[in-house]
Parts: sequence; C-alpha cells; structure tokens
Amino acid sequence: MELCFEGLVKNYGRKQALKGIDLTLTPGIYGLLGPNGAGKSTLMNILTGNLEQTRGRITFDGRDIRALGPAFRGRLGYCPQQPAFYPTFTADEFLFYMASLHGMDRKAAKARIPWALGLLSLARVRHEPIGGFSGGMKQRLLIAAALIHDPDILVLDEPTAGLDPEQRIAVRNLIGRVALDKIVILSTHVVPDVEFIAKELILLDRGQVLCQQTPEALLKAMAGQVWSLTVDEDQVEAAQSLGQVCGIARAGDQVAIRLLTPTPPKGAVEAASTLDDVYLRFFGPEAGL
Amino acid sequence: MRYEWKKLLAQVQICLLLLGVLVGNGIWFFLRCTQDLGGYTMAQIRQVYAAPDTLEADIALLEDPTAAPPLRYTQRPWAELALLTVARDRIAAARDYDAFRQGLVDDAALKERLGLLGPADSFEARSLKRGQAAYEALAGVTPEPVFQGGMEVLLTDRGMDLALGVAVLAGALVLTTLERRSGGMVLSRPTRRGRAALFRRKWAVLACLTGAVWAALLLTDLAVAAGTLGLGAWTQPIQGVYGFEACPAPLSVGGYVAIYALWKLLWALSWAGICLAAGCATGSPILAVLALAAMLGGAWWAGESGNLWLRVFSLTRLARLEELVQSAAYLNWMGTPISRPWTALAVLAGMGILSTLTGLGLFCFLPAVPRKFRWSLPLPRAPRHTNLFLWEGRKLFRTQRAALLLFLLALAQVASYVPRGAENTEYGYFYRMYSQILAGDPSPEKDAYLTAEAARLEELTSAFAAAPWDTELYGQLAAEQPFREAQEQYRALKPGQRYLDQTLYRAYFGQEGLRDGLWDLGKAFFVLSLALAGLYPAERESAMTLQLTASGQTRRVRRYKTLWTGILALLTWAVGTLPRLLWAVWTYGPPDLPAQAGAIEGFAWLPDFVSVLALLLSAQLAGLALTVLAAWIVTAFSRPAPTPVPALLLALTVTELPILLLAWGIG
Repeated sequence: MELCFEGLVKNYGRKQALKGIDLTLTPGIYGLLGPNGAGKSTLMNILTGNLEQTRGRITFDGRDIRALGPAFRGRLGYCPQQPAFYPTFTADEFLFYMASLHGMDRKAAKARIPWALGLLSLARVRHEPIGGFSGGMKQRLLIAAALIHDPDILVLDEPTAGLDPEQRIAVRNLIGRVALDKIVILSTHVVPDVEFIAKELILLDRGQVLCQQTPEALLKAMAGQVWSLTVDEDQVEAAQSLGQVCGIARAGDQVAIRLLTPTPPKGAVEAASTLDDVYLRFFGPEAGL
Repeated sequence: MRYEWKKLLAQVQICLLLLGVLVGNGIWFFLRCTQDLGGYTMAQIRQVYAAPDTLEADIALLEDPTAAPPLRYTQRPWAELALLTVARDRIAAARDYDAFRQGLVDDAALKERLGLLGPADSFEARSLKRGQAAYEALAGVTPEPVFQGGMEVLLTDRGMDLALGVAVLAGALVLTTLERRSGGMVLSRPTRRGRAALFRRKWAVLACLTGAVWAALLLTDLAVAAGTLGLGAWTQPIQGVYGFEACPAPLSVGGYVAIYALWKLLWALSWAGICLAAGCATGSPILAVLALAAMLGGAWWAGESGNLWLRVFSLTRLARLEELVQSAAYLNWMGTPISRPWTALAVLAGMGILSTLTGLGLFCFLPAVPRKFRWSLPLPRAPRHTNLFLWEGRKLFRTQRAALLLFLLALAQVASYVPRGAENTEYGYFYRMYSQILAGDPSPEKDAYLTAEAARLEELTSAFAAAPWDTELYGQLAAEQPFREAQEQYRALKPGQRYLDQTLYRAYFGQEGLRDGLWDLGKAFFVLSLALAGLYPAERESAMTLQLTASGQTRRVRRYKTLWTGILALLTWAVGTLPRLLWAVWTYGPPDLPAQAGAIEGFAWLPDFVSVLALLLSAQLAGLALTVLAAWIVTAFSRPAPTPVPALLLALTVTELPILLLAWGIG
C-alpha cells in the first residue's frame, strides 16, 4: 500500500499554497507539522477531494486517486478540523449515517458502531443529540466516524483539538493502536501528539516540504544544538541574544534558559533536545505566534 | 451600525432580492397603470377627459343601432361605449359631488327623523349624526372633473405593500437569526445591556432599510404614475378621486398622498417590529417565517370578518388606508362612535412599539446561542439502517421539519374545507332538483318532462298574475329561473353530450373554485419553501460537505435529495390540493366521469373526445406540475445559498407573489 504525492501544486489566484509537494507514504503514522498557512489543510483537502489541485497528482498503489474515484474514497477515513455533523442527529444515528456514506451494510455497521463508541467512551451518550455534546465529545465522535469503516488511509486534521490531557493521551494511544496497517496522516500543531507514535514527521512550510524524517533522526540531528544556561535575573535579556530561546524557567534564585544555537554559549551545558526544539529550529520563533 | 449594514448588504443574494423587489414593484405598477379594464385602459379614460364636449353625443350614437359608431379611442363599439360610459360617470360624480354629499346628509337626517336607528343615544344614531356632521362640514367642497387616474391606481395598489413586506422581512431575518445561529453574539455582546445596544443598532438599520425601500418604491410608483397617467391635480379635494366621493375628511389630493405615504411607512415599521420579534423569538428563519405566516393568517381572517374592531386589529387590513377613509363608519367604543382612522393609527403605532419592545426583551433575555438540544418532532426512534436514501429522507422530513409542515398543511386544509357546506340557496336547491331529473343522456321522457314542467310553471305565472298576494304561488315560482337555466342547458346539449349538474363543476372550476385552487397551491408552495430552503445550506452550515466529498458520495446524496424533493412535492400537492376535490365530490356528489367535458360550463370549446375524467385529471396534473416546478425553484435557490435566509426569501418571493397577485386578480 503506497500513497504518493507527485509534484502537487495548488494556487489560490496568484498565491501559491503548495509549491510542488513530493511525498511517498506507506503504512504507518505520519505527523504533518507546520505553522499556520504552511499548506497542511490544503494538502489534506486535496487528498480528501475537497479541493482540486492546480498541478500534479496523488496516486494510490500507482493509480491516480481521481481515476479511482469512489474506490479510493471508500478506503479513506477523514476527521476534519471543524465540527462536521448534524446537530439533531444522535451519536448513534450519525455513525449509522456515516456507515451508509461509506457503503457499509447494516450488519457490519451494527457490529462496528458499538466498538467505535466504546473505544471513544461515547457509548453512554449514543442516543443523545450531538448538538448537546461538549467540544471533546464532538471531537471523539468525529474520530469514531473516521474509523467506522476501517479505512486503509486515515486523514486526521487536528484530531486532539478541544480534548483534555487525559483524552488527548487516550486518543493518541488509540491512533497508535489502530494505525498498525494503515497510512495515517495526522496534521497538528501540538508536537507531543505525534512525538511517540509517528513513523515519520513531515515538516511543511510555505507550501514546501522542509524534511521528512523519523523523530529519532530529527532528534539526532539536533545534537549540539540545544543548550541550558543558568543566569541571574538581570542577565536574562543579555542571554536571550545568544540564541533562539526554547524555554525560560526559574531555578532557585536564578533563571534557567534553554537556547537553540549551534555555538555553545559560555557556561552553558548541552540539554536533551525535544521535537519542540526541532519545530522551533525549522519554523523559527515567529511560528509560535 | 456600519457592521450591521455590512452583515445585511454583504450577502449578494439579499441585495439581489432587494433589487428584484424594487424592479418587480415598478413592473407590477406599470402593468396596473396600463392594464385592460374591460376593453379600454385608464390612459384612454384620460383621453376622454380631455374632450368632454362630444361625450354625450358619442354615447347616443353608440347606443343607436342605426347610426355609425364614432370609434375615437378603441376599435370596438362595445369597448368604446363602456369607456365613454365610465368616463361620463366619473365626470358626473365630480360635477354632482355637492348633490351627492347633500344626499348623504339628507338621508341621515331622514333616518334620524324616522327613528330608524333606535334611541337618540344609541351608537347607531350617534354615529349617523356624527357622519352627518362630517358631511355637512364639507359644504363648499367642489371637486372639478379632473382626471385623477394616476392617483386612483397609486392609492389602491397592493404591490407596494407586498414589496415593502418582503424587503423588511429579508432585513429582519438576516439581522436577527444569522448571529444567533453562528454563536457570534457571545463574542460581540455578552451582557444584556450590550445586547440591548446591539438590538438598537439592528433596529436602526432595519428602520433605515425600511425607509430607503419605502422611498424607492414610492418614488418609482409616482414616476410610473406620472409617466403613464399623469399625477392629476393635487390641490383638488380628495373627493374628486374616483372611489373617494364619500370620504368625510376635508383633504386635498396632495394632503392625502402625504398621509398615504406616511401611513405606508408606519405600517412597514410596525411590520419590521413584528419581524424582528419573530426572528428574536425563534432564532431560526424557517420558524420565524412559519410564525409570521400564522400571524398573517390570523390577520387575514380578522381582516375578512365583518367586525370593524377585528378589522382594525388586522395588519393586512391596516395596509389599506383607503378603506378607513372612504366612508363615515365609526367604531363602537362602549356606545360611543370613535374615528376608525385615528384608532387604526393608534393600533398600528402600538403594534410597532409593542413588537419592537418584545423583540428587544427576547433579544436580551433569550440565550445568546441556540439551545443545545435543537427541537425536532418527537417521533419514535427509527430502526438503524445504512440506507443512504432513507437517511436523506430523514434529513428532509425530520431535520428540515417537512413532516411537521405537511401535518400543519393537512390541518389547515381540513380546517378550510371540512366546515364548508354546500351552496345553500333556494335557486341552487331547485337547480339541483331539476338537474337530478335531467342528468345523463337526453331522452324523449326528459323532453316530455321539460314540456310539462314548462306548462306547469306557465300556469303558475298566470295564476300569480291574477293573485299576486298568494305567497304559496310566489314560493312555487321560485323554481322558474332555475328551471329555465336547466332547460336551456339541456336544450344546448350537442349530440353525444350528457346533461351535467353544473354545481360540482362550478364549485371546482368557477371563479371561487379557481381562487380556492390558487390559495391551495400557495399553501403548498409555502410548505415547500420552508421545507426545502434549508436542505442544501444545512450541509454547508454543518460542514458536512467535507465528509460527503471525502466519502465520494456527493452526487449520490444530491440525487437522493432530488428524489426526496420530488416525493415531498407529490405529498405536498396531494395534501394541499386534493382536499378541495374531495370536498366538492363529497358535497355535490361524484362527477360523471365518462361524460363529455364540453358539457361543463366554460369548457364548451373542448373537443368531443375529452371526458370529464380527462379534464379533472388534467387539472390535477397541472397542479402537480406547478408544485414540482415550485419545488425545483426552491431547490435552485437552496443549492448555492450559504444560509437558508436568502434561499427562503427568494423562494417565497418567486413562488408566492404570483399566487397572491393572481388570487387578487380573480377576487
């Protein structure tokens, strides 16, 4: 099973949102990271058919997905960023509706829906209208809907948005569990969401893929880049000019600053790097704003 | 306020609707000014006014069968005669106004002297006296026979009311429902005081919109009237305008036009207040329109009643200022006659203020976001399935409330037709009695019966001539006219035709029947507009289009939606139009289906092979085709609409306006 993006270009008028994306994805979880406006949603919308590319193509096992049509769509599970459901439907009705959209028969749906509802802790509210759900419940329902037909390709756009930390971990683990034999594309701003489950991270900025590597390789490449410097409070401002600040924390009477810089500042000790540091390295401090 | 304007005018479809309303009103008013009044037009009456000297001589020539008709204005003698007669009557009405007025005064004095209206302190006697005083005060008012046709059409036109109503409704729905639906109110004005300030801005924008549309409509109508018929003489007394002869108010035409214009503005502002309140109460454009339709239905019922008090509280009737001033009729306030126009003014202003305050209260106190659990029909939980076609039906009938709307339509139709009985006149009774005897193929026995009955009635007529006091004879002679009609109908049968009792067919195809049929279609179109306007925007508003596209089922879903739209159109047609046919058949008996339809009054032009069954089926199919067309129009507006508001307003305007105008035309 192989999903390839070949020279994918998308223009909005004169603005180029995707500038020739080339990617090859095989079963496993791919974390799609990038700041706002990087082109993540555009890429996902093209994959799910909600946008038409300007140039290039996406192939699934060597065949253009546009030519495959419903045969490809039926193997795709999609959890959109915005809440997409009918408020008057109950959770149960909505999942049966989604099952019918994906061409499942009643027997299969009846077997699968309680599984999905149970997996996402929604069994208790299955007969309640979705309009009354909390943000987290809605988000979990969308994930359940994306999983209902056991798709081969799972596209998750900010799936943990609106979830509390406990639910966030549960969903992360769930994705890790169900994704063993699937191609999962997980778009997020939250780096820890993909830190431990992603097979590879795809860093996207201004419509271009900056790199596609395993988390381990990315972290390895950060060796000698992150430093911890402990200074007095009145020296904080001066210390900030020594590199890109990854974190500031009080350490007793002093202040500990994490700095991202290839040159070790005087008195600094090397710190263990995280994917947040990778994110900052590639997208710069303005990505956080 | 700028942002409120932006919310309103940033929607292209709403702007197009407002533009369409203005243009449509202009076209409608132009057609009213130039319409055929029975062989002649208002412009031709104007021409006759310009040459009044030859009028009497021309009429005499036209009435003389031996003389050559002087066709100065039309090409047909009958139309020329009708035109000249109408013009003469109008000119005479103005010239003889003083005699007419004095006649009213004298008539009142006579009634008072004879004590026809009870004791002197009774309401009837006091209102008569008050009317008499009003007409006496008009002594000295001498309207000149000036052509005032432009003002006559302007002051009695209903198109402006409709156009104003639609524009105001559009503004109110956009301003009150969109934010609440999107949850934007929480962001903008979280406190009650803040919401009150926001409501004031919304009201101000709606009032400005109302004023702008009102001014545009009025100027358009005045320009059209001036261009087609002229504006007349505004310094003349209003009593010189045809239809206003009995107006008891000492007003000039110009003064009355100014009052008319301000009245329309006040009416529109009151309607705006009511629309705002409905929008704030429901938070949903569909429910708001449903509530307003129920309110207008009640207003129409009150307006059609004979009770003057009920009429004065009817918003639809209050739009007709002319009815309040065309005669000296007073309201009974605990035995005291009070002025109708002033009471109506107080009611209209009160309605506007009260509804605006209600809207303000609802806007401030209702939750800023829609209730979490959206209401839907409490139907039992359907068995779970994975049939996409059935899910689309569920969306239409439950989410879009088509089932509820169909149920309400059925209730309305039952309420319209079940209490309605048969035509209960002596004439109708005798006609039906003779028709029962003559029904079917002509035969020698029926011929003989007609001869015998004619002779019997002849004898009765002679006997009554000899004894005109004989009430029994008089009663029996009531059968004479219906008999003549039945006899003529029987004699006029062509070979192959069968005698048909016309009562059923008149009830169905006659003027009343056609008007009822139009109202039924109007109700059906209303249901379709409410049910279908939100069908496609609902996918967009809920972002479900993303899921549909991702699943690759968009086309299939659209196809199923179309199928369900067809099913709904069929059901709406059946619920909306069949009760009238069932009522007619239930009341007057089953139709003679195999008979030739040419024997039905008004259908003599039909070829022989067309049977009554074919005619009835064609009528039903025409109704069905119109219903399907209406459903198609609504979905055509619904498909590209981002929200249900513009789709609903456009659909209502396009499907309901022609029905209303046609129904008025027939009425």
